[in-house]
Amino acid sequence: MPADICLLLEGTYPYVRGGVSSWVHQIIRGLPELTFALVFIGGSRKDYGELKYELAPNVVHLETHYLEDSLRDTKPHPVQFEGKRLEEVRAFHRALADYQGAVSKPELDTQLDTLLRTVEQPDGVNREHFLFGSGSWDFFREVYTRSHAPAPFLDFFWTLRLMHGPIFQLAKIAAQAPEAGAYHTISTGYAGLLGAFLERRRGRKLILSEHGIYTKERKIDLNQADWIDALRPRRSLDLEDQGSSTRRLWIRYFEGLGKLTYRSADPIIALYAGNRARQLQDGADPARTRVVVNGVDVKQFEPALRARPSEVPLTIGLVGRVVPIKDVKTFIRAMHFVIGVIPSCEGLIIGGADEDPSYAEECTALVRSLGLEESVRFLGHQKVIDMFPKLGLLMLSSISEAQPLAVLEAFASGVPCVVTDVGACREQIEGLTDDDRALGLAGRVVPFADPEALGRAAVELLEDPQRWRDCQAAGLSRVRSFYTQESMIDAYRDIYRKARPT
Amino acid sequence: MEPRTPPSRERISDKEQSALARRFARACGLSLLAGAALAELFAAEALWHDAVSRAVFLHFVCVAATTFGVALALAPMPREDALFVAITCVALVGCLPGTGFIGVALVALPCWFERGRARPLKLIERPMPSFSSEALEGGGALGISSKDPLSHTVEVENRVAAVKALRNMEATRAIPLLRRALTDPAEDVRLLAHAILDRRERNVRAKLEQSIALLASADASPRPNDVKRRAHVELASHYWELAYGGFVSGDSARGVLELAAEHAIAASAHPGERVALLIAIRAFLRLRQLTNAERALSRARQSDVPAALLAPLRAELAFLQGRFSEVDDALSSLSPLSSQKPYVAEVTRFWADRGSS
Repeated sequence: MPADICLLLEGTYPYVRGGVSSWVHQIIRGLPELTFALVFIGGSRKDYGELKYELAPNVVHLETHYLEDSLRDTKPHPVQFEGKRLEEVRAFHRALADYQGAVSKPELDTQLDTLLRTVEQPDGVNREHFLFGSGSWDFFREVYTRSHAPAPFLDFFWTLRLMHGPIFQLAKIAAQAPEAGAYHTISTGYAGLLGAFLERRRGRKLILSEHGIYTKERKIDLNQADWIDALRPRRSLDLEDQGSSTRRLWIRYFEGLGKLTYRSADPIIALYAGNRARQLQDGADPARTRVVVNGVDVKQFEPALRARPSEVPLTIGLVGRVVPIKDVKTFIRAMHFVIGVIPSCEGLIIGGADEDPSYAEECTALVRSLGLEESVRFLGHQKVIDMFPKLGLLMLSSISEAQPLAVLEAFASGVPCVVTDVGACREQIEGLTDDDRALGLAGRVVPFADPEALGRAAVELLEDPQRWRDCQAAGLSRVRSFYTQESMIDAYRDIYRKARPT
Repeated sequence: MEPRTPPSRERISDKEQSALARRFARACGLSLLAGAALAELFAAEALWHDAVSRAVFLHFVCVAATTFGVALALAPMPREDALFVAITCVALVGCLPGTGFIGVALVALPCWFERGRARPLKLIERPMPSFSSEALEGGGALGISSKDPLSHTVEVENRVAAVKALRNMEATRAIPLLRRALTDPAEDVRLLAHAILDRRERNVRAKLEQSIALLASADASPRPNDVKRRAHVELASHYWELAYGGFVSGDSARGVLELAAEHAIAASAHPGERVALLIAIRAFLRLRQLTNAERALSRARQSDVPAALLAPLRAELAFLQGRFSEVDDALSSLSPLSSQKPYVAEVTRFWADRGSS
């Protein structure tokens, strides 16, 4: 029996702990009347272990795919294959490269349909044709000569192969994916591409909910990637970055995937107005975009609120994985400042440290070098409901966020927050609408990568019990009025109802 | 706070002498230009009377007099500019008899007047730029020029490319710009700057570990003194970069600067070691340990560290000690290339104007 909703999940639930995974888990549990199928896409098997969440009874299907398989078991061998068979792939390229939106939706649909009829079909183009076919070689040369010379051909060749492998693999997955009333992807990228394929193949609606903006995050990753710069002289200060046509190729590839997803999905959901603006900038149709904020089950956190001591605990917590984007080092430096003023204060880092072991080691070394071994502790993953009563403040030092659930959960548990000015954090602390702002400040907002500012803000709240209580009250009112799980679940119930065939 | 010493009478006469020398040079330049004009007129008169060889000779005299005259009239100028000016004069005056000289004179004379004119300095209206390295971190001393690749008016993609270019740039130049990029309105720029700074810090800390290990193993090596000297220099340099890069703050920064100074002084105990002294002076200045800075500066002078390298440090020390009249003199030892850097030029001009007013 087909599931009601098929969730397309790239690098997240149910194999990775974090905000997005928790959100997915909330949606599934909050809609017990619906059945869910899960299609997980990961990069490499070794990056994912066992399930991190207990699947709810209404999850009726789970399948897992790894993109590394797209280039696996491919022993090079000659394949006779005419280049003109790649016309469907060329057309798809044109659609992917359509930055000005010149290709209309019906044209795009036709190209996708043609591609899906051809790719990985018995008489069509398969992965081996593309990787080893003689006609494919001509295709590579044609594209290179047209748009990528004089960048190194070798880099171009391998990049194009790496890019196309997953396309063939996802087309195959789309042919075998479970039937569902609607498909819901939690990002653009590869999951979004799969969603676009499924929307055409199955004739079902595709829903897109973006937490972070996938395309933006890939661009940032690519801009920071060292391996790309190894392809050109290290001493070059050339602002044109000519040696990195590879970087541009990848950025355009992900931009193309993003646009393709935006054009296939309806609705396109963002967590807050800032991300919606970014979606529009990246090509989303304004008529299809909307904002549905995160929500928390306030009742679930009432025991944590009741368990709070009467005094403000001199404990500051960071709830998040120990990864660079959470900028745990800035938290540690902020704690160094705080402990300089309030020696009895302690810092707790509540989150897994296994995702980026080298970064975790740097953080541990920093704690040692600052002499904070007794005051700052890494607790690993913990149940936040048990931890919040022990915290006087939640500190979020992230360099990039969307709408962190940890802040809302802290509010519901009566914990004010000191956050960096990224994503929707400011509107969580200060409020968005007039009614929301009237509730007051639920903490403090500081610039990112400024440990002293974080530390000063934390000291200000910990040393002033009245101000602390005002922030606590504001946070509680804010989350109860504007960020409830009920309203978020109701919104998605309605979205799913409209998306599924009647 | 260090006691302020009154300006010495000798220092004032040195300054007056160099101002006189500049005025004399400009006067000679003007005289040469006048002579060049006469030579060109006589060359024209000779040509009128068919005395070609005399005309050619007088024309060459005009070219030479114009070239030297312009160079003296517009002195002082950097060597590179002087060469360019000379080539232009020779080309224009030599190849365009009559009109070439008129064109050059029309350009040079207004510059001569502008340079000679004393500009009154209104201290209240003109902010005094700080010339310590900390000032660069704020980035606000000069404002943002239209050519500034990190200006918020530049496209985001170009700002991203500019930040990427800082990856391989030397720390003293790259870090202030990266810190400025942390406040960029575009997230892509901020995150890239943060990642680059984070990587730099990681590299410095890794190198620190290696240098600490090197020092620990020095006694066991065949040439312990050489190894110790190298280890001390490296440690001083890495601790300094940690502090300068803003990777430590508050008491930690103080501690790191003290370590930088300690290792620098230890390295400088080895004969011939000069680089470490510069680090020691910088660290003492940051720590506001001015007596130690002065001592290190004196040792650096005795060790024949080039005056151009010591110039900014001498100037900063003089400023911190309240010996304001010595600041201009210290800055005048800067190399022409350094003194033309936008930030440094502003500072140098301020103190030169203050000194001449």
